[in-house]
Amino acid sequence: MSSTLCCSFAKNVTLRSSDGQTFEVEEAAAQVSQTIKRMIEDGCTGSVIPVPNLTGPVLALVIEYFKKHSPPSDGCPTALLEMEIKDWDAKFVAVDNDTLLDLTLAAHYLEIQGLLDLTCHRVADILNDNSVEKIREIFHIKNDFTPEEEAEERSKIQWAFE
Amino acid sequence: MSSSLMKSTTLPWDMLFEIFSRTSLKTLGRCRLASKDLNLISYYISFMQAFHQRTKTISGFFIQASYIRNIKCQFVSITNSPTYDSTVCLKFLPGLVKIQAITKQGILLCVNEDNPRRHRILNIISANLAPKNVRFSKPKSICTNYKSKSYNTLQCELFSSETWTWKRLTNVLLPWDEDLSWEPAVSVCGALHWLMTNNEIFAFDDTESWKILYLPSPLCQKHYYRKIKIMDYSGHLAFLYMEKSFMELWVMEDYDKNIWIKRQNISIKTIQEVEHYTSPLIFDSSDVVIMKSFDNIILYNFKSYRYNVCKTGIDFKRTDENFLFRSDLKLIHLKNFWKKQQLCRVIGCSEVNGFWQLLQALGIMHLFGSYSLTRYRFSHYLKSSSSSTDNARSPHHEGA
Repeated sequence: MSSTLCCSFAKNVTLRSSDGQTFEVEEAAAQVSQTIKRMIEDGCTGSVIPVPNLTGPVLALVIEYFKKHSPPSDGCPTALLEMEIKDWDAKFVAVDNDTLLDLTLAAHYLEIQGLLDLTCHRVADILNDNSVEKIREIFHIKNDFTPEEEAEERSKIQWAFE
Repeated sequence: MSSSLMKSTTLPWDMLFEIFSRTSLKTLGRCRLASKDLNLISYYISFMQAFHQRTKTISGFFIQASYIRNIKCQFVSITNSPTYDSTVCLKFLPGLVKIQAITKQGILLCVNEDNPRRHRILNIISANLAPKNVRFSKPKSICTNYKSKSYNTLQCELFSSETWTWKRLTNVLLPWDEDLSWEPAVSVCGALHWLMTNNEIFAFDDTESWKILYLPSPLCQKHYYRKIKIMDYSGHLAFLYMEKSFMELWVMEDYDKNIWIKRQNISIKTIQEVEHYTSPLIFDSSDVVIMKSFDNIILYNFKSYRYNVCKTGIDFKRTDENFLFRSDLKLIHLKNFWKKQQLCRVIGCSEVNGFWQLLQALGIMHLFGSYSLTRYRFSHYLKSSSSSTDNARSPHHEGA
């Protein structure tokens, strides 16, 4: 009994990204992701866990997040530690827009609520300071309004531009 | 750094939902221009509920019922389930206050009804066409003879918050037996709309001119009156036409060419089983219509046929008006304002600009309340309270 406990404590899992890069990470840390947690519980840990929706660089970032947010081994997190994590989070999402959106998608696929909240908030903050054209650019959205439709829509929501 | 695969595809809908439900009201407005998909999402009821919960903004409407020498006004919150919300309350305003108009970003224009002098001047229908405010009133002699024909005359004035003055426009002459309805104006497509007694729509636009819009035949005939209600439907001019067990939703597809399209029939049988004599008030989103019965408010989702009933305690058999209102509610301490009351409750916008607009709106309220107040006094107030407003702003910025 005690040997299994000890074993699971140090157990590592291997994650493989869509472009074939593999990363080794502590099982406890990887369980921050609900998707991976379920896979481990279902016994899929024998070999490598594939993460087909994420590329290597994004997965590397996500694993950094795992490591920082893995449950502490020595009980309750202290207030100081929480502050430190908050600072780290702020730096973590201070990346370019495309990377930020990739991270948001990753958080969604891997069901990491904390990361999803973090990235969505960051994107929302960026949007708050930007124009419609910039919003389209950030999301790679094509403007499918005709000029007349756009003018009409704009007149409806003039208050948003004051 | 990021993959070319993800770059080429836009985010899935549920991701956009997650992100946009964390932005601000203003950003949401701008996002409606980004693409048709985003425009559509932003009007969904599930989206608006998530948005208001996450951004801690409020959404609801003021219901106002006018009696002789009394006005009852209540805020009904529709953020979650419809409830009478006492946190939004206009009791802090001096005297008998009547809401005249409301802007979509959360500024109220109120008029003090205590002052009897204003009844003569302002027997008005008034509405807001930001940043201007237009009012129509009945002059002493309402009949004008022009080329041996009689006309119903409406005196038209425009208030500009930039010059702080009312400007008199040329009188509006309507046929003798026609008039504007007393319901609040519907502000869409850059114009204000009132239904007229002969079932035409009077539209006053921001070029300070007016025109008449026509309903589709046979609804344009006079005897259909009372059953038609014009509304704002997801930013379009629309109207609901009441039948016994359903309502017809018509939407103006081409505003310039006056083309209406019938969107759908909305069955109200499920509601009629619990509430009699219901009538529509306002659209909350693209699939929720707010209805009233004699003394209750009903939120009806006509896509899922689900409804919520909210008791309000206001008797709606009397004339009533309703104003859709979305804003973030902040408690702001203003010193030495309104008879040195230390605390007053202010309903405002989160943006700094919005805050100043709000102060202007408060100035308008005050201006209406007592004619002795001058603009000097108002600007004096702004100076003296600037320190307290700074205090009020800072907690918000920390929270954001």
